[in-house]
Amino acid sequence: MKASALTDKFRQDWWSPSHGLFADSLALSQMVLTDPPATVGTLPRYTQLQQLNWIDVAPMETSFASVPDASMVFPQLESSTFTGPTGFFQQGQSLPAIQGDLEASAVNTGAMAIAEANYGRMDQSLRYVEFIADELDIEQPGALPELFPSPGYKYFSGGNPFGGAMVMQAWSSYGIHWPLVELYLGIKPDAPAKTLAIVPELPGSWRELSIDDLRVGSDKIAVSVRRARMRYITTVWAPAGWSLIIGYTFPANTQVKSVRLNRSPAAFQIVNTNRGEEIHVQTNSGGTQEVQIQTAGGRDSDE
Amino acid sequence: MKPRLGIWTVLIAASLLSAPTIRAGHIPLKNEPLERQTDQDLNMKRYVAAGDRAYIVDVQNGSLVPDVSLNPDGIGWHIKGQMGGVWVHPIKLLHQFRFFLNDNLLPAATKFVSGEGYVRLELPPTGGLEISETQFAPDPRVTRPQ
Repeated sequence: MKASALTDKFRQDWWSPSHGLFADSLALSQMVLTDPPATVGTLPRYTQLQQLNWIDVAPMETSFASVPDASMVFPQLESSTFTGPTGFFQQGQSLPAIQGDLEASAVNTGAMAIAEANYGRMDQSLRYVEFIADELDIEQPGALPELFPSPGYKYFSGGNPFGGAMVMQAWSSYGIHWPLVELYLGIKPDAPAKTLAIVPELPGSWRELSIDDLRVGSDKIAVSVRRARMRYITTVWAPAGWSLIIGYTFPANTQVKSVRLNRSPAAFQIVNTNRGEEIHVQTNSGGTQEVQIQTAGGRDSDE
Repeated sequence: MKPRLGIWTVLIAASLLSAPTIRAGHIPLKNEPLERQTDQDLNMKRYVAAGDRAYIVDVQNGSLVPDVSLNPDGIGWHIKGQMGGVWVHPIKLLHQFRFFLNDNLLPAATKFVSGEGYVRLELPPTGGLEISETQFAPDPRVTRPQ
């Protein structure tokens, strides 16, 4: 109840129907002279500001926005207003009102990769993952930088080549590690509770993805997901002692023909999330657990 | 634990130049070392080789202090011109160091390689020698999970 009330309040304050975007900040409509809390407390409503700051993606990065709102926002964030040829801008451009900095940078491009995947938009997510991967060698080979070459930020061409953004920035890998582990492989652990959900979703152009030696609590697990025609196979290797949910994520209204656990027909749940319809099979860990799902139609025409 | 100088730089006149490395943009095969390299614009690119206690920030050609024509201010924005060099916090140990062979300053590196926990600057053949410089900063203890 409290969560939904807060969500409603957030949307009332931040959603801007005229833009089809969430505001990037809220402003007061009057000067605050001496006592900000008192002034704020008396205002019926804040003034929404829209300056095309990259923080516009935050309600989707946190999966906070409703699916209908997100589906209005994403095409704008993906457009050249916010996204350049190398990544997501720190501030987008809408002339003449907003010049923007047109600097593409790693961490907000990563936020887009995660936001898109949160809503099952895996091909769009992969576009942002690849923006980041493409810059792996831009300055120090193998070290992701802070900013990407973009209309607002030039590498190696005059100016001050050694006084600019970071050559090596740890958070820049956010948009690789997080979407691939938590959303593409769909690994969501609760180690204290010894529960582990593995509900993957792959971009249309990917047939398989796997990870080995992933530390979860004090254990190590491995996960593999494969897709062939209309079969989706999620395999989990984990030591005994975990409650598992294994499955796959499909667009809404996908027709599931069969669900098997270790080759035997299995009970399953369909759970609606912002990603789509998640198929969940419950089991316990120990050795190899494999869930195979057959659908009547794939999410793309790759058959 | 005895205090130690945290960053080592090793000059090796050896056959390392023939070691296979990975071209930019190339995904390494399983039997290839996890190295990535570049020979482009080294005088305009920075690098970091870091351990828990010490690190170096340098220019990929090994000059440490960039050409004034490229950058009159040196490496560093937050602390203008002062963020390059060898650091063992809270001490900046060296702003610059240089190597000489028979009293001649070694030439700038022409290839830069990043590896797992180290970097390698490869110099053009000098005085009949192939010369490379491998830099790494050891951590005080090994705590990697097995």
